[in-house]
Parts: sequence; C-alpha cells; structure tokens
Amino acid sequence: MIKMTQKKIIFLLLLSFEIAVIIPLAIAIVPHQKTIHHIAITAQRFKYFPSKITVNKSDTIVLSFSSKDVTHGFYLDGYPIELMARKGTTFKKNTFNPDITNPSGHSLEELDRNWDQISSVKFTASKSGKFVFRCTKICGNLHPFMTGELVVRPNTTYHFAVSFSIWIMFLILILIFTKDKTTPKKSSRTNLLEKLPWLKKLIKHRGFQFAFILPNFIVFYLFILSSLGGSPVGNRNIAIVFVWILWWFVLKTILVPFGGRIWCFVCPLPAPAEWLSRKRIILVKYLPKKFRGLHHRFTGLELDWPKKLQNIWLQNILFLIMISFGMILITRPIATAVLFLVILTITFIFSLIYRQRVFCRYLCPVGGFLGTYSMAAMTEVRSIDKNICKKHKNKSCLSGGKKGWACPWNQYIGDMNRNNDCGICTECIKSCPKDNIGIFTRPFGSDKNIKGYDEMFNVIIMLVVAMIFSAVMLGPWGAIKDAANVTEHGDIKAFGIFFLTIWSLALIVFPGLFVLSVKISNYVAKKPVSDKKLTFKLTYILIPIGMFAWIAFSLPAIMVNYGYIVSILSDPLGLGWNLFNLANIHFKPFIPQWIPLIQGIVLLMGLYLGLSRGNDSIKQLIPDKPTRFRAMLFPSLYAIFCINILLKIFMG
Amino acid sequence: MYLVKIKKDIFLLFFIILLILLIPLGIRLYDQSLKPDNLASNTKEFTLTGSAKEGWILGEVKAYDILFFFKKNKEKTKPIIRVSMGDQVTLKLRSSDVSHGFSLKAFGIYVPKGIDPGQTVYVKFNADRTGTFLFSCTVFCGDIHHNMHGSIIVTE
Repeated sequence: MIKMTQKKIIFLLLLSFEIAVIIPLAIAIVPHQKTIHHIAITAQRFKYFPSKITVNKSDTIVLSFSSKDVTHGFYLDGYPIELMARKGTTFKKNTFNPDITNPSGHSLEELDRNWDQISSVKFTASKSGKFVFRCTKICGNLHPFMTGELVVRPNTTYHFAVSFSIWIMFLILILIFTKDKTTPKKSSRTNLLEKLPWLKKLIKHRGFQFAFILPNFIVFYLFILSSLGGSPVGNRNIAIVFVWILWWFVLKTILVPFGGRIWCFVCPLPAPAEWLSRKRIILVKYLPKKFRGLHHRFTGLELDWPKKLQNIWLQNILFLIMISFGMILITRPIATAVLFLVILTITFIFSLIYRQRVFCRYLCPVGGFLGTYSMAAMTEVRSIDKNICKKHKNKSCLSGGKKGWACPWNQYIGDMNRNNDCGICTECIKSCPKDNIGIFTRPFGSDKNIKGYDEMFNVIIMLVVAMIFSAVMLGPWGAIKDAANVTEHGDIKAFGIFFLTIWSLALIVFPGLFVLSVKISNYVAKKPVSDKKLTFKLTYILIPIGMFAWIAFSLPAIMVNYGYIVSILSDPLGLGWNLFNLANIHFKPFIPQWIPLIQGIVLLMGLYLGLSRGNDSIKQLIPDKPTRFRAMLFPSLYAIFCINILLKIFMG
Repeated sequence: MYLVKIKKDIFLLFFIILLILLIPLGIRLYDQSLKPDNLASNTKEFTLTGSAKEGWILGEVKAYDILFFFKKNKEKTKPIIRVSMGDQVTLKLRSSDVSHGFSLKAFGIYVPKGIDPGQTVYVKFNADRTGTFLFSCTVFCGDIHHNMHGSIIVTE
C-alpha cells in the first residue's frame, strides 16, 4: 500500500473500473420469468396506493385507476399513458401524442378533450428503470408533489450509479498517490475588470446596483401583490411558481455555483431598508470626519451587531425553522406573502437599530448557505495587489470613500480571502481611490477555509435538508407529505415526529457521524493534525456534494413543472387573463423518463468534485501521501453514504 | 442647496413611489378592460367560485381569503343570485382548489368537463321563468360536495 508506482496506479484504476462496470451488467442479465400484474391504484389527496410498484422487464401490467376523493390524474413518465379519475369513473386520454393523431386539422386544445371512459389499461413494461407517475389534475395544495413510482427491474442505471459512486471514491483515493505536479499551476484567475474595460466603467457608475435592483424590486412587488390577492392555488400563483420553482432553481444551479452571493447584489428585499438607513438611493453621503470608524452617518441608533452573535448560528436555526414549514411555505401563496412581509419588516426595524447589512449577514435564512456555498463559486471580488492595500492608510473600502459607501458587509477586502461574507455590492470597486479591486474568475471550489462549527453545521444542514426535501417532495411516501402538510391534514403528532426528525438528523445524527468519521480517520492516520482542524478542512468535501444535491433536487421541479411557468406568464395574477395565449397549456413534463439518470450524473459529479476538492484542501496540511489517504478514507465513506441515500431516493 | 445635491435620489424616490402606486392601478384597469361591455341593460354577470371547503362562493377567492376558511363554526351561507325575468345572465365559473362541476338543471346547463383551478368557464342563459332554481356541483370535490348548492331567484 505504501509504495505505489505509476504502473500500479493505472492498473488499479482500470481493474476497479472494470469491476464497477461488470457488476451492474451482471445483475442486468439475470433472467426473469414474465408475469402479468393486476394492479389497482387508488388515488387519494396527495398520495397513490400502492405508491411504489415493482415489476420485471417485459412483464405485462393491467392497471386500473380510481379516485377516493376529488378528481385526480395519472401521468406515467416514459410510457404513453395518461389517465384521469373522478369518483366512480376513470378516463384515458386517447390522444397522447397530438402530432400523430391530428389528421382532421383539429386544434390541439380540442383534441385535449378527448377522454375515453375505461376500466383498465394494459401495457408491457418494455423499458427498465424508474418511472414516476404524477397527478395531472390540480387536486389541492400538495398536488405538484403527488407522485408514485413504477420500478421496472433490472434498474441498471441505478446499479451503475451506485457502483460508480464507489469507484469515484477509489479513483480519488488512488489518485492521492500520483505525483504532484512539480510546477504549480499558473494562476487560473483572470480579472474581469481588466479584460472588460466597459464593465469596469459600468460598475463604477453609482446607479449600477440600483439598475439591477429596481426591476427585481418591481417583480417582487408583483409577487407580494399576487401572493396576497392572486389565486389561492399554489401552482396557479406567480409568487409560488416563480419564487419556489424558478428562482430556487436558478439560485441553486446558476447563481451560486457561478456567482456566489451574486443574488445578494440584486436582492430587492433589504433594498428599501438600506435606502432608508443611508437616506440615499444611489448617491453617497460622505463625511470627512469619521463616526465610529466610518465616514458615514446612518438613520437610527447605528449600533453594530453584538459580538457573540457574529456567526451564522441564527441563520442555521432560522433556515431549519423555514424548512420545517417548507411544504406549507411553498404551496400556500399566503405563506409566501407572510414570509416576504416579515423579512421586509425586520429589515426596516433593523435599519433603525443597526447600521449596514446586519440582517443579510446574520439573519437572512438563505444567507447562511449562500455564504458557505459561495466558497466554491467561480467568481470572487478581491484586491489586485495586497501591498497597495497595506500601504493605503485610509482604507476607503472599509470606512467609506467619496465615491462609494463603506463595505456594507463590514469586510476589509485587503485581507479578505474567502467569499463567505462578500455580498458583491461593488461599493469597494467604487470607493477604492487606488483602483485596486477586481472581479476575478477562478476554478470551482477555490476558498477552502471553514472557520467554525457554525459553518460546518451549515454545510451539513444543507446536505441533510436536500435529502429530506428530496424524500418529502419527490418521493412516493404519502404519509410524510401528510405530516409536513400539517395545516391542512391537522395531524399535530405526525408533524411533531417529522419536525423532530429533521432537527435531529440535521443537528445530531449527520454532524455526529461526520465528526466521528473524521475522528476515526485521524486516529488511523496517527493524528497528523488536531481533530478539530481536520474536521473543518474536510467539511469542504460536503460543499460541492451539497450544492450538486440541491441541483439534482431542483432539476425535476423545472423539467416537470416548466408548464406552470409558461402558463402563469399568461395569467400572472390568476384573474383569468390570457396574455400570450398559453394560460391553459396541457401539463406535459420535459423528458421525464431521463430525470433519474440526469440526477444520478449530477450527484456523481458532486461526489467527484467534493472528494477531489477535499483532498486539495488538506494537501498542504498533510503532505505525506499515505497519511492523507488514511485521513480521507472515512470521510469519503461518509460522502458516498450521503450520495447513496440521494441515489436511492432519485433512482432506486 | 442640500436638496439640489441629492436631486437624483429624490427623483428616484418619487419614481419608485409612483411605480408602487401605478402598478396595482394598471392591473385593475387592464382587468376591467377585458370584460365585455355590458351593452344591454338586462345582461348580468356573476362570478361563482367553487371551494371544496366552503361550497359555492359569490365572487373571486383571493389568496388571503384562505386564512378565513379556518374559522370554525362559521355560518356556511349558500349563495343566492337574484335576477329579474328577461335578464341575460352570464355566470363566470372558477375554482379555488380542485376540479368542480356545475349544473343548473332548470335551464339545461351542465358543465361535464369540469372547472379546473386557473380555468374560467362561462355559462349563459336567459332567465325566462320566475322562481327559485338550484345549481350544484357535479364533480365530487370533498366532504361537502353533496351539500354544495346555491340558488338563483328570478323575480318579475
């Protein structure tokens, strides 16, 4: 084990890869007997029974479908079957593919109405894998999450994903033994402001941030209006569809991985309070004499946030509270309205008590993970030459200048080395008289400094919540959905169990297992560094994994429900408008049969990035390769454990 | 002097306030412009919204109305629509939660396709008889479905 030649490494990699391919293939060719399954599915608000059907490939399924309460739909991904059941009768949509059966030139909408009354449907399970069936008729608050699963064995893609997840661990652990590149990579950072002079000019303009906030402000104003006075049905209300489907997706898959806290730059929620606090909208109020370290005076008491609370614990707790009621929040427009109004009120109150962006940094429930995940983001705002910063006595970035406000996030960019608390507000670029600040692009996963337990817990909470949300919202388990949907279902006891499960998994079980895995690893590696230091360093593994878990979670929301986005644009306020003539388009998911595979690939990418960046983060701390191998071993096992929970939910 | 210095900000502040006020107004105006002009004096339009919890409700149900559905022991009133004989009545049918149906047997009106949330179904009839006529929901929608009625009273 200790001596690893280049040849040995290549041999090991090839061998393990072959094993990883052969095992799933071997499972796939085990022969099965063909049988006929008679399956009667009953639909009841937000669940199917049975919710999970397992058959073998080329079995015949005779499916009957009925509703116990309101009108429900049944849309099976990947198989051309769409049913609808009212109490007592069941219908089958007879024109699944309108392109084929449109000989007489009927409009599609007319064809939509062709439903045949049926008693059962017969079809052959010709494709293997996991296929979700979903409700197509709005049946209440949790309608978008009413799903069940058909698993056609052998589920080869799932087996491949599992075996590759293990192989990726092998890959990273074996690659530790390869030679380190002798010449360190030339800095892969480029200063965008140097490359694009027009961008620099734009950013230096005082109205730059406002130009982005204003449209966003108007849009969010419309969301609040709609969440109060629009349709009470979640997926017909623009606030729900645009915030919890579109915004969440864009935030998780594009904004955070590429831009870090770029959302904080455009966020309209704290903007009015900031205008009030500054008594300015785009201009700067500069005082030559400093007041408590800043060249500005703000409205109100101008306090600073208490030292004891200068961490993200409050954000962790608030995020968990928000998540515990997540199912209600994302299905009831009125709950979303309350959330926005509460945030607006708090920012206003805070602007009168504290100065600068205290709410965003220490309270905003999404602020916590925006901070930790932005460590992996591919852009950063940094000073160009640290020596210029050192010599510059005035530190306009921190205390304010004539052309820009003091950093609202209270950061000194001269020695800032991570993205966590940088809201990319671009004030320092404006205030710096030396023109010493740039926006840099950089490789994914560059900052690796996790500073405290608050951040470690944040990372683990995010990962656990991604698993819980995947199970609750994408999984077929109706009982969990009922428990989460407490205001309608009213089972306080079930909600209590649900609540306690979330909190104990996120705050005790998963953090505990992680700390334990690092401890064991450190013990096996004969303690090259302290447990605490190694724990913080290796938590970094979980940042890309969590980020990609959230991407995998948000993907189906957009692929299945993009139709809501299109139709809501035609009727933004639920008043029965039809602006673009698309208000009543038929529910049709986009390539839903590929969703599990795409999710699996995304998760494996996250696993690879997590483990490789985790290895990078302890490279300097533990230069000895066999020791590093041992230090990585158990945390890597923890990582594939987490990934496999998600793989099971998404693909199994 | 001070105000001149910050005139940009003052302008923007007014602009923002104006937007906040004008947007709801614009929405209301556009919404009203969609309604067909009531040329004849005897055309009457009513909005009926189906709710699985409350039965038929006269008018639109807004997101905030949901808060009041939780009130217990609230008197559930069935809607009564009063028209006079000879009126051309249009009913705008909406749903606030699940699929509902609609039938007004006396005037031969039946909506077999159902009324889904987000959809608007218009039914029209000529109130050519006097009396009290019952309308009801025809698609099973929950516990109160069998009691989901309302009446149209046509007077002289």
